[in-house]
Amino acid sequence: MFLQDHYTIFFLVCIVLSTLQCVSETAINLPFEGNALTIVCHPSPGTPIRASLGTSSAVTENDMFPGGLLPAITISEGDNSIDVLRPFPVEPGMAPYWEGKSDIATGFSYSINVVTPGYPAITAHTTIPFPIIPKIKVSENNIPPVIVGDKVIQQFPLTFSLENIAATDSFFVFNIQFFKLNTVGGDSRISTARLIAQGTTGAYLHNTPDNSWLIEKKYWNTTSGATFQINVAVEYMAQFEEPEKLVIEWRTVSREYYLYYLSLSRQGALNLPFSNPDVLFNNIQGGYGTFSGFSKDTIEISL
Amino acid sequence: MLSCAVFDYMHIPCRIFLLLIFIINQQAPKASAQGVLDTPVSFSCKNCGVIKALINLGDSANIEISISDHLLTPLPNITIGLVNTPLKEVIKKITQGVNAQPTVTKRGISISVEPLRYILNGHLKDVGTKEGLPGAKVGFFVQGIFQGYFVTNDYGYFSLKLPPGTYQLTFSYPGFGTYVKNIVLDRDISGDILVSPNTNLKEIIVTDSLLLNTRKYFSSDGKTVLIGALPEPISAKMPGSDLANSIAQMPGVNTGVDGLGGMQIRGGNTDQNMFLLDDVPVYNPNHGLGLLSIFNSGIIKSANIWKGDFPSRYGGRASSVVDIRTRDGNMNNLSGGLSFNAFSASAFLEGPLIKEKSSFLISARRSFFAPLIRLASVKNNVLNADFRNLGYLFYDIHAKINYQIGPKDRIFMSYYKGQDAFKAPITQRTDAEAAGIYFDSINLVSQWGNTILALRWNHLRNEQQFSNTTLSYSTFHYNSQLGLTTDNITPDGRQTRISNYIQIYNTDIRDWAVRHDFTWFKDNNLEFRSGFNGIIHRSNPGALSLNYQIPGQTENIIDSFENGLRNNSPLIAYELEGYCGMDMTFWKHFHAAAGANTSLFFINSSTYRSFLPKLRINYNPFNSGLNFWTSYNYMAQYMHQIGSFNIGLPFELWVPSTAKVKPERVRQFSAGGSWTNEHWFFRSEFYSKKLNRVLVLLSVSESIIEGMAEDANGWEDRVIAGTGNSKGLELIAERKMRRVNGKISYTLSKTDRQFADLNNGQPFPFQFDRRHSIKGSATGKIFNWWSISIGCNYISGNPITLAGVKYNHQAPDPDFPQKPRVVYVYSSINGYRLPWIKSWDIAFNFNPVSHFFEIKQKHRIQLGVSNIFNRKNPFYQVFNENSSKTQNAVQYTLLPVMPFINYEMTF
Repeated sequence: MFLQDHYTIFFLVCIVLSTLQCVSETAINLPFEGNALTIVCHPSPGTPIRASLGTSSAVTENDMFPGGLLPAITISEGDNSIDVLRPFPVEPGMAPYWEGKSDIATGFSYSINVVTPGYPAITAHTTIPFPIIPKIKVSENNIPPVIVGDKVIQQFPLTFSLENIAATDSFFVFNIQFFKLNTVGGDSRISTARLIAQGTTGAYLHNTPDNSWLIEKKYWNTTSGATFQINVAVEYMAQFEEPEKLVIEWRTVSREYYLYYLSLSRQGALNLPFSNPDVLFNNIQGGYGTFSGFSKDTIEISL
Repeated sequence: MLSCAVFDYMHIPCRIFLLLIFIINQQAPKASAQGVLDTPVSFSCKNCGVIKALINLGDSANIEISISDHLLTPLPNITIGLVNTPLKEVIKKITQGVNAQPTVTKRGISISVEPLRYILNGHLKDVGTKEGLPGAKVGFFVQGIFQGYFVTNDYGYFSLKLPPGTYQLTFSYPGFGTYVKNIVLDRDISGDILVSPNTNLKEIIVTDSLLLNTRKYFSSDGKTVLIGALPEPISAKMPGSDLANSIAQMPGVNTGVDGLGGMQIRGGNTDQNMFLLDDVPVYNPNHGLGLLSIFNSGIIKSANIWKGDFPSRYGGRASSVVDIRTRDGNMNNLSGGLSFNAFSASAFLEGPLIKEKSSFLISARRSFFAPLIRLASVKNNVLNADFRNLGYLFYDIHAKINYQIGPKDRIFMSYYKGQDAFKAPITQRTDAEAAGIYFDSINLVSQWGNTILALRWNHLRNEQQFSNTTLSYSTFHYNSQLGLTTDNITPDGRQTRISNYIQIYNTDIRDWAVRHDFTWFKDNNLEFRSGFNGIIHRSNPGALSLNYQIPGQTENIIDSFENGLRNNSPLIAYELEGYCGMDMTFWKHFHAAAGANTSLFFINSSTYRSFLPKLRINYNPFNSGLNFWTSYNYMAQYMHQIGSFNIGLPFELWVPSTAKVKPERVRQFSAGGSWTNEHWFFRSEFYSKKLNRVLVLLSVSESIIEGMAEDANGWEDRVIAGTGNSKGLELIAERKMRRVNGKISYTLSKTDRQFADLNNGQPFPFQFDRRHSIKGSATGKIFNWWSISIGCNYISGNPITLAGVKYNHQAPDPDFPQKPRVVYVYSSINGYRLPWIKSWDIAFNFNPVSHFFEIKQKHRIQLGVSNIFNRKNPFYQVFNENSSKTQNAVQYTLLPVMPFINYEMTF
């Protein structure tokens, strides 16, 4: 979806100008400093360390999947090497990734080092933050469900409460999954939950590529204090489904994690004239991507 | 009580300053009124000398009176008999015939005698229309030797205080040459001076630089005159003459490529420029996207611009002031004009309602873009889309009447309404073979415009005191609604709606204002100005983005959101402003303009205060044509335009300062010098500007796209404040000859911005940072009725944020495999610079004259070519994905070579 904000209006003006044959195109040269390794790795307690590896390319190049990389990927805690990531077998068509065996713990700092023939070596560091878990409750639901044909659309107001959060340097990401019960078959089905928020909350939420939501740090400095409110909109079939539960994955993320995804969100779409994308936060020395840890908790709320 | 509450909010400098304003307003006309001088005394004296009478008066009043006897000796004997008369009145009777000034001292009363002076005051007016000529220079000479000069105020009023004698007065005004008048001053003289265009009556020979400098338009208070009483020199850039183009040609002024977007002055943001139309602020000064100003050039009497060092009477904006005054209307005859070109047509009419007493002026303008768009749409259909119903329209109307109530009072009533409307119902069909057919439907309706209603009252309190009071109501609105639907029809005939999106933007500002300006022409070397301004701002900003396809964002919810946006509680803000300033000439060669502006801004529970000092000192050695100056200005701004472009397009929302969005503040230091003679003019000026709390609206979060609904309350949280620095050197060389005039300017400047939330907190070049800017123009007169104009611009390209590198972001998660996202690596904001902007323009101007029905008509036919070498100036750059799915960086160019024709006629 290319429509965003009032860029769209400007696009339309440009279209009008193009109908007047005012607009012409000229290809330009762009800066490019050569290929480098890229890595995306989010170490988290309770799951093995996994990293996807790739290479950067010039924006004008078409090939984004060079393949054939033979990297040596090591994980260290301080000066001690604790793990070596190995290629994980994936089904054809899936992007390859590398996986380790060691578990990691909160409160410790870890490093990653990747050496691949033909590319500069890359290193990065991160810390696994201690989890800060909110109290979550479903507020009294005064929003009547909307019935569209045989579908029911219902909203559940959620309140997340965190204590003393404004004073700490903590960053959070969450995602919400909706489970609906099939009253005929008795099985549960997972479904996407959408969020509706008032403007201030909306302005401070950023969508991440894994369909989670990053809460901007500045949110906690507003008059909302340590309370975060949002409506979860779910959809089910009136005749044979009913809401069962919401499953909330709450991540306390490292500073690197927060800054990377915040900058990714602020990049905006590329094809927007006059857009002013922010620079990408990058903690990978010698390459691009992110090596950033988090700790997570899962909270279930029955509906 | 309200005033007390307001007073409590103010810090000490504000309080002192408002007291000073109050004192000047209230006490200025009064002589010193000490208690001793009001003591009633009885005194009589028969045929006695003045000195003896004063001594006797002291004895009888039991007070010591000291006198300057050499000044009083020549006076004749007097006979006087007064009972219970204030002491000062008795002294006045005794010293009748001289300008005796009694003052109370520790020892008694001291009487000094000031040299006798008479007041010469009146309006400088155009003899034909009786229009006052603002900003004209009134110089006074004795036997050809320059004594000093004075500048008429915004209404053409002047007041001089001179010793008795014979004077030669010179009146200099752009387009009127220099008018010289001999005056014998043996009493107070009050009356209007009437001058006609291009009059140059050399009754005496004066060899002072002031007279040689009749075309000099840089005044001592830092303003630049854009338009005098006559239309400005014809531009070769575009048809007709337009204020936006005149401003864009000045050094230190940047616009978007090919004039698109607002203007940025000395590194300031677009919204930091104050446009005043007859004393009333205008929020959106341009039609279209900045190519034309909303001010019909046919009715502009004067337009002045201050690029930062503006006088204390102007407040509310942080970078510049453009003060535009429209003509009052011809008091003697019916006259008018019309013009048309391929884009628009306009007409104006003016004349007397009651001859010499009241006049009117009315103008109207309308665009004609729509037929052009339709014509081109039929021809060009490369996008396989239907553009036939596209439409763009602007119009503006202006009406003004004035009435001379008496010799001291005049009222003006004016009305302005301008409107732009754009609609784009576009449908597009895409055949996708196996996936079927896609139908995209885009429907945009947007409109914006200003409305102004103003009532002004000019009052001459006495020969030396002038006041103007303005009541005004003004509005600015912008509304847009954009709808998008995409439907897919599969080969088996199944229809599915893929997207259904709506976006609403809303700005609605209403200002009620009262303004009072008071000018006290104390004497030839000193002028005080003070006044106040009270504004109630009612603004209603809002933005709403909704996706019908997202569960939860149904029609019902959309309606409630939309109603919420439309009925959103308006933000009410109160702005109170007081100012005091003085223009002073000292040590004969120096001129100082000093003052301060203090203001309060209340909104909800937040209060902001500003105390803004200003100082400008000129050194103007006589007979050399030289002028040097330096200035310091501190400015604040409470109303802001925010948007993702930040280039002043009307799409961007105007919002007030709030608890979260604090006022912008700017400091500017400048220094410069100029030299002029009969044919040459050189000017250079250096400036350094520090911007605090400059605002940017962060790009919309992707959450909006992905399913979040956003209501009208979110804008404050997307605004971030940072700092900026701007430095520059502006140079101008101008040559004026009998048939050829030429001007070239060069600006070297550097402007950056710094935000904690952007560019990793590091400073980056401002979006309109232009390192080098060269602008030139020349006009040659081939015959009296035929001239040729040439213009050129060589300007550094805009900085732009571009990525040279990309990679795939894909977090490894075997349970929920992610689609790869292409990430573009931007290493620095505005780290890449677009190529130079170059353009050459040429126009041929024919100025025939005709006589029909015994009325003289002046015609102007303009044939020109803009961007004659078809230079492809970079308008913006994007990445295009072509059919083979490879990425190309593509530069778009807006205006190619463009011929134009324009016709104007006045009678």
